[in-house]
Parts: sequence; structure tokens; C-alpha cells
Amino acid sequence: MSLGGQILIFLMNPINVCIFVPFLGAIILMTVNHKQEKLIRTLALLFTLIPFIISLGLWFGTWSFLGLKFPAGFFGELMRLWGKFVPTLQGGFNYFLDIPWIEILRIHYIVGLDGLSFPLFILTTFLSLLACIASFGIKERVKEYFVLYLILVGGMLGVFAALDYFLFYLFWEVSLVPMYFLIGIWGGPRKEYAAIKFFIYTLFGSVFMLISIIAMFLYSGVGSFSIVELQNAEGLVIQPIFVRTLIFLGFWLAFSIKIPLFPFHTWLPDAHVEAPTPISVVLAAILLKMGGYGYLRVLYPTYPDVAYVLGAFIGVLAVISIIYGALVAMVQPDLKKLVAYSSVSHMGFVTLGIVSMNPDGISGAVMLMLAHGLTTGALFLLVGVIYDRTHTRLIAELGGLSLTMPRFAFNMFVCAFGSLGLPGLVGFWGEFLIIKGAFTANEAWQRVIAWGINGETLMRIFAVCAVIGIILTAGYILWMLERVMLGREHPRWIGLPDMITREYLALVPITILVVAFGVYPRPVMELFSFYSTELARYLTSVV
Amino acid sequence: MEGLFHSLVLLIPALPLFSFIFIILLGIYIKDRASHLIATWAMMVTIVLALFIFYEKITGKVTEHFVASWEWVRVGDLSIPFAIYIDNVASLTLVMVTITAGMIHLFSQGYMKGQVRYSRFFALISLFTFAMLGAVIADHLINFYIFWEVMGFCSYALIGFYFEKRSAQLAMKKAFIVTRIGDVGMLLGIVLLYFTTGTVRFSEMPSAFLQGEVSLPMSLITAIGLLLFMGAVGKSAQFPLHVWLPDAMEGPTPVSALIHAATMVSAGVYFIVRIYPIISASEITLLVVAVIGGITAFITALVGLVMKDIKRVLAYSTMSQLGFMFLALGSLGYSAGVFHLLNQAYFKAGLFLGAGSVIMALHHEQDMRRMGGLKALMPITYVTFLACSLSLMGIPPFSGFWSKDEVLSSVFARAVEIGGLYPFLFVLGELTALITALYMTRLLILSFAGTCRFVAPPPPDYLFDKERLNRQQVEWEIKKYGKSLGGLATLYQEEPAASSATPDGGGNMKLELTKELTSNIGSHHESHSQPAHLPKESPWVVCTALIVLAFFATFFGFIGASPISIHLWHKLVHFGELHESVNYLVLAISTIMAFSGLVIGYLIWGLKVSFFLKAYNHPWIKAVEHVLINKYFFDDFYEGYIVKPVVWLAKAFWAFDIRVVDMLVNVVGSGAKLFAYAYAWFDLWVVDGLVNLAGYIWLGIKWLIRPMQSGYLQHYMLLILIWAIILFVYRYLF
Amino acid sequence: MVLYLLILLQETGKEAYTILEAVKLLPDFLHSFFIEFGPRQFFTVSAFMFCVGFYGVIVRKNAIAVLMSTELMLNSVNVLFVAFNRWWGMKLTRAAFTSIENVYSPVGQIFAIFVIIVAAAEAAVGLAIILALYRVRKSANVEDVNLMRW
Repeated sequence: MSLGGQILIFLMNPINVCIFVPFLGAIILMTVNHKQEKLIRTLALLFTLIPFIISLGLWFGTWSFLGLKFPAGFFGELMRLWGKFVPTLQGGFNYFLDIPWIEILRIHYIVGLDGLSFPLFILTTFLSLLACIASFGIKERVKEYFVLYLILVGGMLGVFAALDYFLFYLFWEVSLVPMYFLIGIWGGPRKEYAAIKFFIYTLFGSVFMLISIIAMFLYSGVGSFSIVELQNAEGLVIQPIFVRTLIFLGFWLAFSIKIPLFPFHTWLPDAHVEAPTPISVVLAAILLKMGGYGYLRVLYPTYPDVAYVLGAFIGVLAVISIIYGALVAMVQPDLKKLVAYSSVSHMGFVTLGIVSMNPDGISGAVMLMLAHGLTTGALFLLVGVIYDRTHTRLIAELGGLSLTMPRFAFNMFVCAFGSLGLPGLVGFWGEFLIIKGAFTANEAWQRVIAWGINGETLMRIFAVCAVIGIILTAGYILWMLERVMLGREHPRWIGLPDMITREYLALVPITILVVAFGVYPRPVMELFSFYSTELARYLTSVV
Repeated sequence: MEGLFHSLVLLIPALPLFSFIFIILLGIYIKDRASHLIATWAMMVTIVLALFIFYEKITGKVTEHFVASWEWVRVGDLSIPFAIYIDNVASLTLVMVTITAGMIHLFSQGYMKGQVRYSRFFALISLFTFAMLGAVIADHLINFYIFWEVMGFCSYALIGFYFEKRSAQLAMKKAFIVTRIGDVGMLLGIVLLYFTTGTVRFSEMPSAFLQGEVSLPMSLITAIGLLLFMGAVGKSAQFPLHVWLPDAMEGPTPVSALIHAATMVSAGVYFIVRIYPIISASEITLLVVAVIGGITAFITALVGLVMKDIKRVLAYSTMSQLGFMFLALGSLGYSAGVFHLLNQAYFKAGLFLGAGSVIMALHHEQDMRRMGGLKALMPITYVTFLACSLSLMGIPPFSGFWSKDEVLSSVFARAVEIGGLYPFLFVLGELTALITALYMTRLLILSFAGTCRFVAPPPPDYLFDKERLNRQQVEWEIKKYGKSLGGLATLYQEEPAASSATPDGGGNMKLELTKELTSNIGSHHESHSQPAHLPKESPWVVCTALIVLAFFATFFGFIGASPISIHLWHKLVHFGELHESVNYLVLAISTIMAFSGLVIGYLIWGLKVSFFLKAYNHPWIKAVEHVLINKYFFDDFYEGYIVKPVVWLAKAFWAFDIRVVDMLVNVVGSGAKLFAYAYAWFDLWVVDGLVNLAGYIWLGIKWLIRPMQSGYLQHYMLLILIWAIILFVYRYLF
Repeated sequence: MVLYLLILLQETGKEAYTILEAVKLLPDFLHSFFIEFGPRQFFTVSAFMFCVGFYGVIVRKNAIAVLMSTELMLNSVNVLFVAFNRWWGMKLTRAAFTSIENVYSPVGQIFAIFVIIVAAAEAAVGLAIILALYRVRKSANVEDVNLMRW
């Protein structure tokens, strides 16, 4: 095919449009005069809005509808090409694109979306839009901020769409670097420490991932970096379990640091506390999901045997994360740290759901990732609202805000209870499915024996322990609400203004979704239910 | 017909939901009046609908077990429908919930008048009513669980309706977390049930467990039953998790009536009724249910004897009655349990509303030490309260008598049948019946009989208690805000309307009152100062609600009165085969117990017989009273042995997180940095040093040979000469 | 003088390789020096002139004297050129048929003239440099000129 045709195919792919529009936006923003802050903000909003609209249209089928409306012409052709996302595509990816990139190294440019990546893709476009709105409060070095922000958005979208290990790694790192600057320049008092800690910690993990990727490439004998092709590569399957475990551990370290799992979580509170509000949102809502996504996309499908061997170990770490994170969150004096540790706890749930390898557990993990993205993102925005007004995040200094700022309080209560997992709000479904999944485990776990205990029993013990986390979650959320929202109006904060339009625009969509998906989660669940069933079936059949 | 039935049943929870959404979204834009009108009229329509459904049900126009389901959530193989299941119990409970909730909506118009956050109150009780009605008709356990938790949230929010008060904050948190502990067990139970049987629909349980469609080991059934029962224990405030309910009285009185007396706490019993096939399948579960019910009934009734706050007495009474229900259910007295559940809801709601009426008249004074003599001042309240009290005491022919008798008969039958612990439970039940009559007599006498102590100066122990409460508030304020904001005295000052109603009151009085209140540390926001007027009867909305509930409290019992209409009741509500025998022995014993309680109570508190006064001063009795006033030290135990260790553990983990986990990371970082410094030194002085050394060597040589380059031509020539000579010498000499 | 001696020794013969051997051969050398007429005398004169010139270059402080000493050294070379042409010069073959005496080519002389010309040019340049130096340093003393020092 001619080069022009290849470029056209490349550009017409909706995933590529979503990924490269932010990058393009970053380049365009670089050329704008830094004094035109309004223009810069508008452009940044536009460049985050486009991916959101495109991905939303893929979900709702707007484009296929438009394709029917315009039967002729390039536009109609494009719309039909975009069509509607099909979550039940048998053994394949929507909008799959595979073109050779660096042929001498067998590196291809492969992207595609399936039931796992599509919800996270939409979550990313949605929250990056909202975080962009929330970023309008940034007052210094606006141009640099938005350029870096757009690069970050593009990188995150790329991670969820990439199906080539090299591309995956590339986007993984691309999302890392702007984050470093965003924390390090626009952050709080200890921003340098936090930024360096975040960067080096994550880089430490991803270097091991790189080693594993290269090892896979060399061992597989396929001569490809494709995630799908390497999944069942002959050369990998015949490797001794020791080698497979080492490769597994390389990936595991990278993903567990990103999630973050218990002993690797200490970068999170620091980064969250120091990062500016929108960046905290992105960090909690999307970057952490990259870890869970990696588990489901790379680790478990490729190394199910190792996953069963190490499952008990990872499960223990997940349970420790749940309880430990919740307990530590309980006594945090700083609101952002509290939310950060609650992320540790929630992501422990996600890990537990994945470890169970049950369709419900995997669905629950994806669902909780989405729910956590929404609720924790909202909580960070809310903390930002408080911080903008009071310039403090210390719980002890706040009080009675539900009297001072009633509309803010409404959002806060909805999101906090959503995070708590109140049934009827979005957080519940994930937790319920995970506990059900862990309790049920799958048939293969019956054949696994870890530490002298049957795997299925072990999973049940994990489920029971995780349930304690639910109580502790209620404990710290309610205690936080009591100290911050309830009580008499604090004399220091009397007359604080309620939320302003920008904050409404950023928060109310999340609040609505927290309620809407809590009441009717089916539209979301339809996206990944087929995927999780298939993956669980595969994981069960392999061992 | 079925189609209409469908939509009507769905409309029942939908109406309160709509009123909730409407009020919560538009609450700040509409007037208070609009919000209560919307909420109340929605409830009135709901009552009519519920009655209609009940009518359809008993006339047999719809099937006995009406089930309808809509697809709702589907993920993987897991499908959770939205399903409703209406059997006779559900339709009866619907009627009960709608009537009590409707009356309480009505009552709240009067009670909450002029209070802060008026429309939010109606929004929340509408949401609560929606959740309760949803839970009543829910078929699927997950549906039920969701409604159940939403109820918990409403309970949380409404207990903390006056969240400026420290005690309310603590109470709301406690209520949510303690019930959550039970709920978590329930969630595990649901998951276990799902996993083992695959069916979690109430409508499928009888066929699954009774007709043996699923065969599970008995241990598993017991485990499921006990786990599910945990949820009921938490929600219905039973023995180990009962501590939250007395504190929940911090909420407004209508909330206490609706949530913490009539409906939500009864939902625990209702839940056990719904899953009765699982509970009754295991003897151990039954025994646990009965024992926990019996223990709770007895110990909480005893505490009710010493409480000074009228709402707290009623709260303990609620727990005690709920214990009775569990006792009945644990003794296979299914019909008795349901009967008592309905009766209790009516008369307890009536009692709470009566108490609310009294509290309203006394300007939010809840302490019985300042009541008395209200019989003449508030006749309607008195009469309705009396009817409800007699019903609670179990005095024939009030409704409570019939249901309590049924409960005790079922325990008796069980005791006769299998013995074991059941005879003790029967004795415990009868004793509880006596104590119930005793504390209700005390309550009646203290509140309504005698002279009106409200106008007299308050007794010192009362002031002491109030000051303790105020001190708690002030200490918290100082801790939180750095200074006292005035304690309870500055909270919720009443509108001047209350005092200006008196002819000689006027504004000055109110002003002085406020001044005095703010200056007096020992004062409570519900003024204990001399009011300018006597309490008077409540407005018509309140009285209407009281009369309706008193009517039900009096006459509802005849639907299942054992000698008259037990056949009707058992036909309506039964589990397994019918057993309709009337046990006149138990009937007699219960009656004697109730009357003796009444008489003893009258002797103690009414006539103040010297024998009892002497006995009261006996040190043993004092010691018992001390234990009872402190609620058996349950709160202290939980605070000291559960909450504090958890917080301590959390702090320890936090320290661990900073000192160890994070320190390890930092140590690795610092170690790398240290190594980098060391290597930088090595690089500078060793690696680069070698390179520099090579240069320095030549520098040294320079010092040796530089003098030769003197710049003088002659020197160079001389050198040439010398070198030439040396060469010659070398050439020729050696 | 040592140089002079050594040059002489160089000229003496192939047998002497050390000073001791040269001293042993000294009487023989002296005898032949005074008896035979040959290039050896010219060598001696030339060497003497060269050594004097060299000595002058090394020890004199006046730049003009140094220049003059240089001229002396150049002229010692001229003597050598002529002497070499006399005894080892190329025989012109055609002349050998027409004359009894051998006719030699005048290459040595030509070179000598060449050197004289160069010496004149060199003297001119040298004097110009000395004058320039004198203008700057107000002295014609070579010890004041050490621009080439390290």
C-alpha cells in the first residue's frame, strides 16, 4: 500500500485520533504566546474535549448513527469506520491497527480496544476533561502547565490502547515524565521530594518491566513485541517455571508499584499531597488504574501458571493493603493523605478481585477501578475546593463546612459515601463483586495449594478479611466527614463562598455519575462483562 | 389486574422517591410549606395504595405469592434482577410502614416547625420511606441489601440531623458503623448463599430449603443463617450490637419514631421473617436467634427502668420488644413474630409521637424529672399515649397483649416440645413482660401524673446531668475551635413565636432568657429556666397522627387475638403447617405478669410505698442501678477494648508506615545517593586523578627541562656545542 | 679547541677511534701535517676559523659582534668549499683530452660565492633586526633579548 494510504488508515483510526489530538494540542500550545492565558485554556479544553467526545460517541454509537445519516462521502465513510464499540467481539480488538514501525527491531504500532481497555479509556478521556476544567485555577506558568498536561493525557490514553509491548512501555514512560514536572513545578511545599520520589519509584519498577519485555521478546522466538502474539508464544510456554516467574516478577513489580500494593505504596501519599488538585485527580483516578490494567492485560493472561503460584502471596499483599490502608487513612491529619491511603485500600480490593481470577472478581476489579476513579477523583477535587478557600488541608483545622458551604457538602457526602461503598452508589458494585468473586474463586484454585491451604479456602479467608476493610472504610470516611463537614460552623471559615461555576462543571458530572452508575450500573458492566468472563474462562482452562 | 397491580406496587416506593428527589434538588428554592406538603401528600397517596394492595391481597384477587421481576444488573453470569415479591406479610408490612410513615410525616409538620434544615428533613424521611418500602417489597437479596443500606444512610443522616451537637455526631457515626458491622456479616451471608445455592430470592427460598431442592450440609445452612442474622442483629439493635440505638435518640423525635422504633429496626425482624426458611432449617440458628432475642429483651428492659430521658426509655423498650420478636422467631413462632412486629410498630410509633408531643410542649425538654402533671394539660396526648402504653405493657385487650401472648405461647410450645434452653427463655420472657409493665408505669406516672414540675425549679441532679452534657459540648468546642462557642446554650434558639404566644410574655422576657442561657454554662439549649406559661396541647396535625396510631395500637390486635380470631391471623400469616391452638395457661400468666407489673409500678412510683423506698436505698439495689444506668458498661467496653485498640493500631500502622516502610524507601534512596557521592569522589580522585597524573608527570618534567629554554641564542648554541661534544665523545670514547 | 682537536682527529685517519689512539697517532699526524701539502692544512685553517667564529657567537654580548662572528663561521665554510673542490672536485672529462693538467669543475667556488651572497643578505637582515631591537630595547646586547624563553 502506498504511504499516503497507510497514513490515511493511521489517521482515520479513532484511537489514534484520541491519542494524538492531545499530543498535537501540546505542540500547538507551544506556539501560543504565553500571555494569552485564556486562549491557552480554551485550546487545552478543546484538545481534551475532542477525545472525550470521540470515545463517548464510540460507546453510544453516535458515529454509526451519523454514518447512516451520511451514506456518501468521506465523512460518512469515516463515521461508519468508527461505528460503535462492540464489547463482545470474539477474540479480537475493536479498531485494531497493526502497522510496522521500527522493523529492524520487530516493533509494530499496534493499538486496539477491548472490554477491559475501553472503559478505562473513556474514564481517562472523561476525567482528563474534568481535570482540565479544574486546572483553570492554575495561575502561574499556564502555558507550560497545559502543554505538559496534554502530553500526560496522550500518554495515558496510549497506555490503555497500546497492544505492543514496546509501545506500551513507551506510553507508560511518556505519561510518567510530564507527571514529574507537573508535581515538581506546580506542587506544594515538598514538591521536589515528592516528584523525585514518584518518578524514581515508578521508573524503578518500569525498568524491571523493560527487562521482562526484552526477556519475553528474546525467549518467545516469535520475533514480535505484540502483547497478543506473545500471550501464547511457544518459546515462552516451554520455559521453565523459574524463568517465567522471573519475567512475571519484573512486570509485577512495575504494576504493583503503580497500583500501589502494600509495601510499594509510600510514593502515593507524598505525590498526592504535593501535587496540584487536578494532577492529584489524574494521578488517583487514572495513573493507578494503569497498574490494575497491566495486571489484567499482561500478567494474568500471559502467565496464568505463575499467577496461581504467586496468587496467594499477592492476595496476602492485597488484603494487607486493604486493611492497612484503611487503618492508616483513619488517623491521617491531612485530607489529601487520607484520600491517598483510601486509594491504597481500594486498590487492594482491585488486586484481590484480580487474584481471585473469577469472572465476578475480575468484573468487580474493573468496576471498582472505574468507581474509584470517579469517587476518588471527586474527593480530590473537593479537597481542592476546600484548599482553595482555606489554604489548609488539615482536618483538625476544618469543621462545620456543611453549614458554611451546603452545596459543596452535598457533593462531598455523595462522593464520600460512594467511596465508602454505600449500596446504591457506584462504589458498592465493585466491592460486592470482588467479595463475591474472591469468595467463589474459580475451579482452578481448588487444585492449588498454598502454604498447606487449599487455594479456594485461602481466597475465602481473603474475602472475609477484606470485609473487615469495609467496616474500617466506613470508619475513616465517617470520622473524616464528622470532623470536616459536621459540627458547628468554624469561626475561622464563616463566610467562605460556596462552589463556583468552574468547580460545579468539574464536580457535578462525577456526582451525577456516582449516583447514576450506582443505581443502574448495567451500561458500564456491559462493556467489560464479556471480557471478564472470557478471561476467567481462559485462566481456569489453562491450569 | 396483574398489570395494574404491578404499577401500583412500584408506585408505592416511587412516590416517596420522587418527593425526595424533588425536595433535595429544589429544597432551597421552594418554601418549607411546599416541601412538607409534597412529602406528606405523597405518603397519603401511598397509604391508599398500600391499603388497596392489602385489600386485593386478602380478597385473593392476586396470587398469594406475587412475584414480578425486571432485568436490572447483569455482569458475566451474574444477573441481578429488580424483583418484587409480595406475600401476605409484605402487604401487611406495607400497610404498617405507610401508615406509620404517613402519620409521622404529618406529625413532623407540627414538630419540626421553625426548625433548621426543615426541607432537608422531609427529603431525608422521604428517602428513608422509599428505602423501607423498597426493602419490604424487594424479592432479591441484593435489592434488599441496597435498600437496607440506604435506610442505614438515612438513619445516619437523620440521627445527625442536629449535627452541631457533639453527642449527635458521635451517635450518628456509631449507628452507622455498628450496623455496618452487622451488614458486613450479612453481605458475607448473601455471598455464601449465592455461592452455595445460586438463589438469593426470597420467593425461591421456601421451595429451596423446605422442599429440599438444594441439599446443603447443615453446618453450611447454619453458617449462612447466622451470617444473615448478623445483619438483623445490627439493624435491629440486638444484644452485642445494640449500643447504637439509645444514642440514636439524638435525632429529632419523628425520626426516632419512624426509623428507630417502627420501621428500620423492625426491618431486621422482617428480614428474618423473609429468610425464615433458612433460619428454621437449622436448630442452632433458631436457638441463637431465640437466645439473643431473649437476652436482649431482658437486659434492655431492665435498663429501661432507670433511664431518665423519656425517649431513651422508649428506645430501650424498642430493643426489648424487638428481642421479643426474635425470641418468637427463634421459637418457630413465625406468626407471633410478624404479629408483634406490626403491633409494636403501631404502638411504639404512637408512644414516640406522644413523647414528641410532650417534648414539643415542654420546649424540647426530654427529661422525665421535669415532666409530670401533663394529664390535664394535654388530654389528647395523654389518652393516646396511655392507649399505646397499655398496648406495650400487654394489658388486655390492647393489641400488644395479643401479640405478646402469642410470642410467649410459641416459646412455651417450643419449651414443651424440645426443652433445652427454651424453658429459661420462657421465664425470661415472662419476667420481661413484667418489667415492661413496670417501666411503662413509671414512665406514665413520671410524665403525666402528679403536678407539673416543668414550672418548678429543676432538681440538682437534673442540672448536674445537663451540665455534664454541656461540658462535653464545650470541651469538644474548645478542642475543635480553640474556644467555646457557648456550648449547647447557643444552639437552635427557638423562634420568639413560642414565648410571644403568652399574653404577658413579650420580647423582653425572651431577651432575658437568651441572655441568661448564654451566660449560664450549666444550661441546656432546651431551656430549663422558668417558662412563662404552662405546656399546652399540640396542634391538630400532631393530634391526628396520635389518634390514628393509638387507634391501631388499640384495635389492630383483634386481627389476631388468640381466642377470637387466631384462625384469621394464622390463615393470613403462617409458616409451614398451621397450628392454631390457644394456650390459655400462657395467656393467664402473661396477663398476671402485665397486671402485677402495673400494680408494682403504681406502688413504687405512684403511691411511693415506704417498703420499696427502703429497698431502693439498699446498697445492692444501688449497685444494680449503677450498672443499669451505665448500660452494663457496654459502651465503655466497646470504647476501651475495640475502638481504642483499633485507633491505636491505626496509629501504630501509620508510625510503621512512616518509620519503616517509607524509611526503607528513603534509606534505599539515601543509600543510592550515598553511593553516588562515594562514586563521585572515586571518579574525581581516582579515575580522573589518573588522567590528571599523566599531565602532572609532564608538568614535573617541565620543571626539569625548562631552564634550557632560556631564550638566549647563545645558550642554544652552547647546548648544540655540548651535545656535539657529547656525541663525539660518545662516538669516539666508548 | 676540543672541537678543533676532534675535527682534526676526524681528519687524521680511520685507525683512531678513541682519544688514546689519537694521542698515540699524534706524532705521525704532526709529521705528515708539516711535510705533505694537501687539504689537511686547509681543514685546519677552516676549523680554526669556525671555532673562533663559534666562540665569538657564544661569548660576545654585542649583537654586531655576534653577527660578525657568524660571518667568520660562514667564511670558514667557504675555505672548505674551495679546498674540497681542489682535491675532491669533479674532473671535467672533455678537458682531459685537451690539456696535460686536469681541469676541475668550479662547483666549490660557485658555492663559495653563493655563501658570500647569502652571508651578505644575512648580514643585511641581521643588522636590520639588530637595529629594530635597538630601537625597542635601547641596547644591542643579546642578553636583553630572550623572547624565545619558555
